[in-house]
Amino acid sequence: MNKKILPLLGLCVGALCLLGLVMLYSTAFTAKDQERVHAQLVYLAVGLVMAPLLVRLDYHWLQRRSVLYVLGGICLLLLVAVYIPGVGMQVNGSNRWVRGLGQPSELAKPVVILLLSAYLCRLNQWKAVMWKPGFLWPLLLGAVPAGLIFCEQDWGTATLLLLLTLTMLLISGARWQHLALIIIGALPVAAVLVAHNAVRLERIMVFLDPEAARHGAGRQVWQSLLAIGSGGMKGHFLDGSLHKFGYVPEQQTDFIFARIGEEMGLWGTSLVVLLFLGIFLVGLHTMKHARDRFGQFIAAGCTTVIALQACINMAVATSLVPNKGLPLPFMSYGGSGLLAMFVCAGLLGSVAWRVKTHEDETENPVHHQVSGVQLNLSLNR
Amino acid sequence: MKTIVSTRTTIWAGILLAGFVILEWRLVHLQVLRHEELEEKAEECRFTTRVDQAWRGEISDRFGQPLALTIPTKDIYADLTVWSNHVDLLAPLVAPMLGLPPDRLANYVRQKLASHQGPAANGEPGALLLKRGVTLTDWTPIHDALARNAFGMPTNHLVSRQKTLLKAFRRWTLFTQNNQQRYYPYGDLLGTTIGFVGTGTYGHLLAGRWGLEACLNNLISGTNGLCNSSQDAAGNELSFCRTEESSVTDGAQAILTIDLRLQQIVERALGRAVTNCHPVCASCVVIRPVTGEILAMASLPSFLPQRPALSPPANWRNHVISDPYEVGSAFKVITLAAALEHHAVTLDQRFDCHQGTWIYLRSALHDDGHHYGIMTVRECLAKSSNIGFAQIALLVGKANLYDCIANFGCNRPTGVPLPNETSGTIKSPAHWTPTSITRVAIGQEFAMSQLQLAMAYAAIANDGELMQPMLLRQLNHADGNCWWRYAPKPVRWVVHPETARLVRAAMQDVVDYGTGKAAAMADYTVAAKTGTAQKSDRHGYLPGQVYCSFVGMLPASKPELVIAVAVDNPQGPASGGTVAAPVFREIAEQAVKLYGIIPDKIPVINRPTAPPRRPFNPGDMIAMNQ
Repeated sequence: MNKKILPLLGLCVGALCLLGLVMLYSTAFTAKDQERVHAQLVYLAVGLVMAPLLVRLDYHWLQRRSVLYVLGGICLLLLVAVYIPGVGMQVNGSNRWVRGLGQPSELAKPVVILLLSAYLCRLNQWKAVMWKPGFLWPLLLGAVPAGLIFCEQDWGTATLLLLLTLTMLLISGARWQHLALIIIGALPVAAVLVAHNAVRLERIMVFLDPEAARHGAGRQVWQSLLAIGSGGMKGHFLDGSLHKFGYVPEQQTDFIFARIGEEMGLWGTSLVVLLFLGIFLVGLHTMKHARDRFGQFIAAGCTTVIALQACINMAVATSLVPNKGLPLPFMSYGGSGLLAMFVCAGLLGSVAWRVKTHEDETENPVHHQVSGVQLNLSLNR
Repeated sequence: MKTIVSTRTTIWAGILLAGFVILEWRLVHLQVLRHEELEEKAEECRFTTRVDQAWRGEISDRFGQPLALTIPTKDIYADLTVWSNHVDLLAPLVAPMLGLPPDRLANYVRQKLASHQGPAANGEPGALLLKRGVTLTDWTPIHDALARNAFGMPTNHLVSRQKTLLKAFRRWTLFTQNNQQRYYPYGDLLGTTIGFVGTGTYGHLLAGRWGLEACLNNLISGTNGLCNSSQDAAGNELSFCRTEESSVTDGAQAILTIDLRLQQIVERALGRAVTNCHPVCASCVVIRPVTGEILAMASLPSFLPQRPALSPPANWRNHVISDPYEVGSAFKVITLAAALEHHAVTLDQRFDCHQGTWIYLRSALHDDGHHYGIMTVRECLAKSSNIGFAQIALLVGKANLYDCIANFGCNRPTGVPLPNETSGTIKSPAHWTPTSITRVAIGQEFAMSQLQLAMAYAAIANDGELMQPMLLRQLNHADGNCWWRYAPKPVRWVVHPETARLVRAAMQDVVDYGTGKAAAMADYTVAAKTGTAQKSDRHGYLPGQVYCSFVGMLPASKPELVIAVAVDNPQGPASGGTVAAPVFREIAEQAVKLYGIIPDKIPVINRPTAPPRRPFNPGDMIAMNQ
């Protein structure tokens, strides 16, 4: 009964990838755009091969310390490597790329999920509410990569990672006071940071009234709103959409949702929302019926990353939140982002594939004991 | 444990689900509730329109000599996005090219830039107009100089940002838009008739403001081509989105009836008269009576249509059609025509001119200091006796006289295609005082324009048929094909041909021995009438100020030309016969050579008579030999 949830995940992911490809194709005007479509196809193929492999992989292999240290080390290394002149590339003034490999900030997402899941699943309920083991160390585990990403000027991904960390802390059972502390403490810091950075400040001002700033900083968001609004119910895919001719900047990456809005109308956008909701529900279900805590945390983390990133991106495109710079999972053009999302989906699938069946529940009623010893037992299974 | 996890999971799931719900609501709000508004604004963003300017048509004389031409010019703009932050570098470079003071240019640009910055800014600062009406020959050196300029940057080893900046400087510091300008190659010739142009409205670059340019504006403006379409974000047109497309129609070419050679003759002669007697203004119109075509129309002082602002607006008036004046004695011809038409008098009927003073109904009428006795009607016309014609008018009667005046078109505009034509001021007979008939007969108490008078004379020249004055001969399309040829338009029969012939015969006497002797020509019979009217204002007649006119036609038997000359308030002792008649003769002598009019005055040659033949006598031969 429970394994049947996996095809739903595959359906949602596949449908999203297909829609994204169609949108990319629809906006491919130049030879460079055609190359992008081909590249996206290649990455999709790689991802679609990789994800089932990940599903088949027993996620407990990833709980081993050696694996975790290697993954964490690679991630940190790559995050630092962007600053090395030969290895890292500077694009538009920000160092986010490693030559030949992609964006390490995207790699950080599944790695941080794994690290946090591995750490948090070992906490018992008493340790979870303690300051240092239950809150500070896991927070640092997530905050260090977030900080490095923040230094790259990728505030969106940094915020996402922090939110991810907080979510997982929430689920793991950290004290409310600690969580509230960080949230309340972070807000003034964020405010000061934003106030001192002209670009971010402008973005905040703009999101409040994009129409007034439509010639200056608010142009991207305003054009996105126009594109989405002019889609109406049915969209302009069949009778020729006109706002795709360069009006929304980044319409193949961060603002691909505006494309869907115009081409497919309310039906299309609702479908996309529904598909992400589907992934979210799969994740929720998986979390509820996961075999062990490690799986629960992985499921929670992967679901959060995919659903939250999707929500934030769509909210930016509809001007509900200030512009963050996050791509839409599975749909935006971008190899490293796509692969990271496939990894997350694969991990989620791996957990979902191994959910407790009805037989398991009746067999081992005391399966869900919080204990590190439990881990070894499940490895032996 | 599980319970806590469940609660927290529920909270977390609830937050994310709430996020999805809000998102969906927002989508519905945007795509359903605000759909029309946003779609309209999106279309507004994409809308682009292109106007193809129509060329203003040429105005030319009857033989195609161009009187008004359209030439292409350029308007020079500064691109403010390039100038911002570089005003100090660019202003001193650009100002000498344009002939502007550098600091003033810099201040102007800075002022415009400042008004574009700040929170009220609406978009990028655009272009700033610096100079209008630059010809291509003036623009090309500026363009070349800018394209080669270094703009203060080193010549080699430029960083890519500097290269971009240099490229932008060279291309966009100054750029141009095409414009049109009107060129009048003949200076002030026919100035008051042609008029001038100003900035156009409704998408046209030029619009006529005065004269023929204004009256023919709709014909010679043409229609602009329009293309409504959509554009992409870079401003390129998406040609498959054209919603409205109409091609451009260039303006028509207007061919006038004016003959430029005759116009030059007329203006020269009139100019000489102006130099001699320094009047307030002088005007002349030459009409071909058979068709009503206006062959020449001059009004001095004139102005340069190229630079109308250099002359006071008083110079722009076309005195031929705009200024009504008391015609005075020149109107007696109309009275005579009325009298002959209604068989009230005959040409040889005698009238007593009461030695120059005549009291009628307690008001006195004078013959300008002359003491005429009994004269025939012919003599009254030739000598221009007011008293004689007053008596003639009494015989005609108020109603008949006014009918004839109205038939001659003296109380309504002639309909010539020029602005500001007056209709003259004559009261209907119901408003005449008992003595009005005597005054109207001699051309006082009412006013009419010179063109109305000339057309009335042309009716007499045309054997009694009044024609409408023709100023336009033909309209051509921009490519030269004929669009419309105007035909002479008769208005009505005013008098019988016999009457007209009799009037012309009487008018010949004016030139033969009457007041118009100065206009007599050796080879041509001239039928004419002088007019010396006292000028008046609201309060009464102004002493010493006269309006001298002379209207004549030649040859008298079958007139081919009607020439009306008028001189307003010449200085010194003057009358129509002394001031206006010589101008007529000068014009007429050259005009007959121009048109090859056959002389109709057979000169009396004193033929030597042959000596009488004597019968042959042989004795004479012997006598001769001795």
